[in-house]
Amino acid sequence: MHVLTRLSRHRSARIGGVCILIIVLMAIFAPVLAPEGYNDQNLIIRLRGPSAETPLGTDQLGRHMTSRIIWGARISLQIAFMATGIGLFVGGTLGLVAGYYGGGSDRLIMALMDVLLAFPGILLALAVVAILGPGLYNVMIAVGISGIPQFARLVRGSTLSIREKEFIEAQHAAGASDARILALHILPNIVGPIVVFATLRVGTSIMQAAGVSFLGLGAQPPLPDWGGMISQSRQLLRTAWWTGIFPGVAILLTVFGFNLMGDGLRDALDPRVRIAKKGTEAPRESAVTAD
Amino acid sequence: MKRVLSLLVVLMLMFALVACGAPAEEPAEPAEPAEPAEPADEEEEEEEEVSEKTDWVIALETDIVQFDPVKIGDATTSGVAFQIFERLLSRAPDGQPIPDLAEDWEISDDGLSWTFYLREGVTFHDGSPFNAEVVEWHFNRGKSEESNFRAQFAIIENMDIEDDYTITFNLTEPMAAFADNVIMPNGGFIPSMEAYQTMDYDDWAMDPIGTGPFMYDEWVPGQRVELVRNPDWWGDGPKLEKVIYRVIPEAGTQVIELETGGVDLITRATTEDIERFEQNPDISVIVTPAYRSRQFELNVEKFPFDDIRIREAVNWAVDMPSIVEAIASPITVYADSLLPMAGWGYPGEGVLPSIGYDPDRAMELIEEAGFQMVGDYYEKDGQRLSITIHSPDHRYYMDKDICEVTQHQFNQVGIEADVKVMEWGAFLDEVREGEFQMVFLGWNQSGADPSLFTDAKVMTGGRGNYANHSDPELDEILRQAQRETDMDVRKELYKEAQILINENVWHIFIGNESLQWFFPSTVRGWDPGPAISGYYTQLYFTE
Amino acid sequence: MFQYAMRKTVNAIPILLGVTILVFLLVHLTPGDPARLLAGPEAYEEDIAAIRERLGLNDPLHIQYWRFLNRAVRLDFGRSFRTNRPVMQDVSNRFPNTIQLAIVSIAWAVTAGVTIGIFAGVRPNSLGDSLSMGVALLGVSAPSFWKGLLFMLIFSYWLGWLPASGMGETLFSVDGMKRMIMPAITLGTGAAAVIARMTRSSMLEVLGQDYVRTARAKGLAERTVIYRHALRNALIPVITLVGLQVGFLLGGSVITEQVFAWPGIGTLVINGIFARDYPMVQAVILLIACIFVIVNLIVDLTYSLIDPRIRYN
Repeated sequence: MHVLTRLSRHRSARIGGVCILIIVLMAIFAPVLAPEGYNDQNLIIRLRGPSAETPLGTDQLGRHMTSRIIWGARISLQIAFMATGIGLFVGGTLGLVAGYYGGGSDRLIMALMDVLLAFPGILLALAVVAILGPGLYNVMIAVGISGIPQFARLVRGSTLSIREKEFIEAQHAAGASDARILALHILPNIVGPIVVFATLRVGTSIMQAAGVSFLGLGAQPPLPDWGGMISQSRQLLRTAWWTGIFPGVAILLTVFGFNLMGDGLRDALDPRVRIAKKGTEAPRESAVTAD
Repeated sequence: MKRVLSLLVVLMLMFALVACGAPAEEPAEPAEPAEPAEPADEEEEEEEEVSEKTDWVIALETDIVQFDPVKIGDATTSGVAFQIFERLLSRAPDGQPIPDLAEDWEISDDGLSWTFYLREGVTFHDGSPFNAEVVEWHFNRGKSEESNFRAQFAIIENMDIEDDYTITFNLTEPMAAFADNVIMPNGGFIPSMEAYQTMDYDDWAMDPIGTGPFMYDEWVPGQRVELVRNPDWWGDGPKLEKVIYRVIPEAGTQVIELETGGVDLITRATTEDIERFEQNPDISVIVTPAYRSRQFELNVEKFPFDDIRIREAVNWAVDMPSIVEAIASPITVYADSLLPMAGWGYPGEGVLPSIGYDPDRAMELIEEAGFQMVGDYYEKDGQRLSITIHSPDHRYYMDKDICEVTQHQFNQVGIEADVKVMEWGAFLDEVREGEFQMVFLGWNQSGADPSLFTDAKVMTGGRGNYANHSDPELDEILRQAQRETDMDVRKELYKEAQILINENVWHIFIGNESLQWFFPSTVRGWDPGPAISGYYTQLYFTE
Repeated sequence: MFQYAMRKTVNAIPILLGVTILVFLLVHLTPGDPARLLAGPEAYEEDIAAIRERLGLNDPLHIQYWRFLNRAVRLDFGRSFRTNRPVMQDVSNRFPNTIQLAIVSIAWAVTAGVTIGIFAGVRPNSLGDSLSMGVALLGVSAPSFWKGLLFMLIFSYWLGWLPASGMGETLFSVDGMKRMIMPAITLGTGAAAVIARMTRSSMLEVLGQDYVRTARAKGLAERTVIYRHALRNALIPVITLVGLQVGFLLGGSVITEQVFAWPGIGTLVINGIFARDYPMVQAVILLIACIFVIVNLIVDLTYSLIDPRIRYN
C-alpha cells in the first residue's frame, strides 16, 4: 500500500499511468472505439489525408488510420507483455539459479548471458525471427529472447546481494529448503528492481518489435502492427506522410508512458529516494548495462 | 497525361509487332538508332542548344557486386556491365536479336550450329584485340566450374574457330532461343581475355575491361561508380563524357534527388510520384510494360486447387483488373496471359479465354464443387475452404498490397483467406519446394522469346514450375515450338499454348510490371524500351 | 592492475568463442538457401547445385564451423557469397564509415546530454527541469527509424535543407557535414537522453555532498561551486556510461544506417542477413561483439582505476 500511495503521488508516474491507461483502453475496447475494422478496405478513398471523415487519413488500401492505430494497440501491447514475460521468466529463473547457487552453474549461465549480451539486440531478434519465420508470436519470442540476458543479470545481482544477508543464513540454519528460501525470502526482497526493469522493458520491447517489423519481419498483414505500418509508409512518406507519422506517435506515447511509469516505480520502491532528493535515478541506471 | 502514356505504350507495342516481322538477319545498326523518337516532348529539336552537361547520373538501389560476367546475378551490376561490355548480339526494341560484336550470324538447317561473323578491328579497353579466340575462351569459361550459368551454357557442345573473325557454336540439340538463352543474358558479356590472364582474379573481377562505349573508372564502395567515355569505341558516340551511378537505396530518396537535380535518371517510383511527375514540365516520364509477368500461381497438388472449379471460382471472386488499376497502375498493368504483352508471343487482347469478375458465379462454382456455407465460410466434409496466400515483401510492385486486397475479396465470397508475407530467402525456399497453396510470383526476362516464360513456368518439370502444373498436350506444343525456326509457325504455336494454359486455370493473372524511366526533359537522343534501356551512346542534354 | 586486465582479457575469450558458435548456428539455421538467392529466382537447379558445392555448403556443419573458426582466428572470414570478394575487404571498406557516424553521434550525445543534464540538475524540480527531462524521455521513447523518417520528412522533403540520405565524399566538406547531421542526431538522441538523465541525477547527488556544502558555506559563487567542484565529480559515472553507450550505438547503427542508406557495416550486415551471406554476417557480428567486449573491458578497467576496491572483487 505504501508503495502504491507513493506512486500515486509521483508526478511522472501519474502522467505515465494516464498514457498507459489510454493505450490499454484502446486495446481492450478497440471493437467499440474504432470506427471501422482494421481491414475494412476501400480502394476509392485510398491515401486520403487527415480530414473530418478520416481524422488520421487513410492508408494505401483505403483503410482508416484511426481504426488501424486503435486496433494496433492490441498487437503492440500483446507483443510487449508477452516478450517481457518471456524475458522475465527465463532470464529471472536463470538469474535466480546463478545468483543463489553460485559456483559452476553461475559461471556457465553468466557466460551464456555474456554471449547473448555481446550480440547486438536488434540483430539477435532479427536472426531469431528469420529462423522462426515472421508472425506475431515469433516476434514475441524473438524480442523476449533478446531480453533474457538483461533480466538474468539483474536478478543474479540482486540475489547475490541478498544471499549473504543474515536472515537468509538464519533460514539455512533453521533447515529451510532452497525452494522455500528462494520463494519466501529472496524473491520478495528483489522484486522491486525487477518490477522497475520489467516496466522499462515493456517499452523497449515495443520499440524492438517495431524495429523488427520495420526491417520487414513483423506481424502478418492485415494485422495493424504499428512498426509494420511505419515500414510500409516509407515509400509513401512523400505523398502520404500521415501513414508513417501517426503510428510512430502511438509508439512514442506508449513507450513514453511505460518509461515514466518505470521512473515512478523506481522512486516509489526505493527508500533511498526519500533521503536524497526526489526524482533521483542514481547510478542504478547503469546497473542494467554495466558489469 | 495518362492518355499520352498509354498511347505511347500502344505505339511501342505496334512497333514491336511490326519489327518482329522483319528477318532477324537484316543487320540494323544498334549504335545508330534511326532518329530516336522524342519522349514526352513534341517540339522540334532543331533550335535546341546542346548543353555543356556531359555527365549522366543514374540512381542505383544497390551497390555493384562484381564483374565476372559468368557470375553476374544482380540487375544492378548487369546494368553497369552493359555499358562496359558487349555481347555477340544485342536486342532491337522488340527484343529480337540484332548484331553487336558479331556483324552477322547463320543458323544451320538442322539448327545445331550457329556461326557468328565477328566485327573486325574491335579492341578491348586495355588495347587487346577482340577475336574468335576470345569468344571461345569466354564461352568455355561459361561452361566451366567457375561459372554460375553452367546449365545455360551446357547446350554448347563445342566451338570451332573458322578464322580470326568467324566462330561456330555446335549445340547438343536444336534450340530456337539460343541467342536469348545464351548469347544475350549477363553471361554473354565478353571480357578481355588478356586482362584475365595477367591480372589477379579479384582485381580483374572488380576492374571490368570490355569493348563497350564506356570504360570503368572509379568505384567508391556503397556510394558511387564512375564510367568514362571510350574514345576508341567502334560505333558512333558516345556523346557523354561520363556515366555516374549513385547508390541510393530508398525509392523516396531517389525521387527527391531527381527533383532536386542530384541525379538524372531514376527507374523506380510509386504511382503517386508518377502522378506528380506528370505535372512537372522538367521531368520526362516513360512507363513501358516489360517482359515481367506477375501472377498468382495456384498449386494444383494442394487443396483446394486440385479442383478446377475452385481455381475458376477464385478467378471469378477477384476483380484483378480493377485492383491493379487502383493501386498499381501504371507501374503494373493487367494482362490476361502468362506471356508478357510487350513480347511478340502475346496474341493481343481479347484473343485468349479469360475469366471476369462475378462473385455470384464464384459462389455457384464453389457450391458445385460440393462446399456449403457454414457461418461466414464454405466447408466441405468439415474441411473449411481456407487459402493461405504466400506473398513476398516488396519484391514486386505492391505485391503485399495486392495480396491483401485479394484476401479481402476472397473473404467476401466465403473463402477464408490469409496472407503469409515472407522475407525473400525463406519465401524462395518454401515456394520452390511447393509448400504453398497460392503464391504471388513474378518471372522477369530480358528477352521476349515466349519459351523463356512457358518452358520455365508451365512445362512439366520446368525450372520455375513450382505449382506442379502439367499438361501433356501443352508440353507437346511447347516442345514443337522450341525446335521450330519459322517465326509465323512459332507464333501460332504459342497462341495455342496460351489458350491451353488459360483453359487449365492455373493462375490468377495479375499483370505485367513496367520498366520506368524518369529523367530531365532536357535529355535527347535516348528512347528507352524494355529491351534497350541501356543505350546511352547518343544521349545528350539540351539547355 | 596489469594482472586484473589480463584476467579480464582472458575471460573475454570464451565469450567470443560463444559468439562464434551462436552466430554460426543462427545463420545456418535460418531457412533460405544462399546459392538459390545468389543465382536468382530464374536460375536453373543445376546451377544452384553447383554454386552450393562451390561455396562449401554441402559439407557437414561441424566441418564448416571448424573452417570458419580456423580462418577467423587469422582474421580471414573467407569470401562473401554475394560479392565473391574477401569479406575483410568489404568490412574494412565500410567499418570506418560506421565509426565516423558513431563518433559524431556520441559527440552530439555527450554535448547535448551533459548540457541538458547540468541545466536540469542545478534546478531540480523546476519547470525547466521537468521539461528538459520530459523531452529527454521522449527522446528515448521514439524508435530511431521513426525519428529518422520524421527528420527526413521535415528537413529533406518539406524544407529541402538537407540531403535525404547517403554519405558525403568526406566529412570535412559542406556536403559531408550536411549528410552527417540527420543520421548522427537520429542515432545519438537515445544516448543523449540517457546521458542527460545520468548527468542530472549524478549532479544532484554530488550537490548534496558535504564538500559541496562546505564550498558553499565558504561563500564561493554558485557558478564556481557547480563548475569547479561539483561537475568534475558528477561526470565520472557519466564517462563510464558514455563508454557503454558507444557499444550500444554500434548495435543501434544497424537501423539508422538502413534508414539513411549510410554505407557502414550496419547496412552490410542487414543485406547479408537477407542474402544469406553467411561469411559476411558472421564477420560483422563477430566484429560488433568484439567491440562490445573491448568497450566493456575498458569500462571495467576505468572503474578499477577510479575505485581500486573493485580489483580485489
